Amino acid sequence: MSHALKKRARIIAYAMMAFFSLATVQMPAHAALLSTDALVSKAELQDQRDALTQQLLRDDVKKELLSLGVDPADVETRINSMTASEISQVQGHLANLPAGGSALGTVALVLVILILLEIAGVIDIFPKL
Amino acid sequence: MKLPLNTLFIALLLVLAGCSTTPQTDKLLGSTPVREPAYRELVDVPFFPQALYQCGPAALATVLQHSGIAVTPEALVARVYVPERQGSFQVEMVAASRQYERLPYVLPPRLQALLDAIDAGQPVLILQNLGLDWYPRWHYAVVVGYDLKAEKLFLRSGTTRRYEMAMRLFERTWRRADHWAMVTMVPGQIPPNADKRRYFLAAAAFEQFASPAAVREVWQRGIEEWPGDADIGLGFGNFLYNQGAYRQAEHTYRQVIDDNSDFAPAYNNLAEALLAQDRAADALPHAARALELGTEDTNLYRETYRKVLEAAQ
Repeated sequence: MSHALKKRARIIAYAMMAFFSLATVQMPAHAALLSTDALVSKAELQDQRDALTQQLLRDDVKKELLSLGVDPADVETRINSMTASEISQVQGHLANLPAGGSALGTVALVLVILILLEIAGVIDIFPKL
Repeated sequence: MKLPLNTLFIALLLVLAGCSTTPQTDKLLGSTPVREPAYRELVDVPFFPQALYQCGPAALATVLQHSGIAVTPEALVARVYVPERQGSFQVEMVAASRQYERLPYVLPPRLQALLDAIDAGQPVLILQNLGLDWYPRWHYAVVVGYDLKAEKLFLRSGTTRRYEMAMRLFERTWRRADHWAMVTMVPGQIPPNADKRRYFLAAAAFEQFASPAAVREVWQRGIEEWPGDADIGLGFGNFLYNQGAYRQAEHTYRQVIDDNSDFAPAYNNLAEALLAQDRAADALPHAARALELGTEDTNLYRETYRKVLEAAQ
């Protein structure tokens, strides 16, 4: 190998070293660690979803929350505070999931039945009875 | 012939109510010797009377404040309230707790677990269906005490500071909400009656959102509680590795291996931690061992082995 070629090879090698060392410093996640997330998936017996699917699910949940009246200013924070498995658990179900709020709006017939059940000690809608 | 009205009425009630037995209360109250203590109440737990429909923010503020976070229900509305559903989802109650650096831990679905939590000084946030399966009225409240002799629970609920509820009635309403209950732990505290798998999952989720200092407390305490657990050990090691504490990570992975000599991920990650310290020659046998033991994730192990081998030459 000529001297010039050697020199060029060395420069390329240095550049690559610099690039890779930078990459390791900034992105430790690229190391081939068996990640905690992978353990979580195993523990939950859940197949690992790829990043793209994840993003789609997240967008879905975001749309659902917006359609349920959540303030657009808050929705991003709320979506981003859920884990991947939480997102996939609720995706598509927000309209039917329990939403604790306890309001009583009801029609007369139902009301009568409810009062009877309340007296029988089956339900507890009217705390003052 | 006279109609047996009473019978009809009772039959109608039973049909409407569905199954409404209370096996857990029966078991708890019927046990001999009687559970000790029979009465316990966390009187210092704060109270926030709920604004219309907003029992979620009120209940969450109650448990968070008790664990030392100064947050009001009003501030939580933007985090957990869903206007069109006039309520809050469980998943968001959990997620919001993490944002305030508290470890949300969902308790096993047993009345006993609620009482144990109270004994440990933890108020318990619970979901109830105060209505019926076909007419649900979802409601969050905080259990703060119990009295087995009076067969009652005490709750911070709705607009009542000390709501006394018969245990059987509570069990029916709680059961209709799948016995959901959670505590919000200060990082570094172990939830009452904690199960290591539940704790591991809670810690792994917590890690994604909380500060490194808080996350360290959670893993550290977990490893103290379950020293030989492979998942928690590896979780802690990974946390240290991601913080750049390669030496500590190495130490932790080695401990995991001491207790779980055939756990391939620990060998693989140990090899990575050594490699990060430029100790490729030390890493090589561990990378090889991971490859030898591994049945899943073999591509990952092969990649580590290749990298280590290359660095060692």
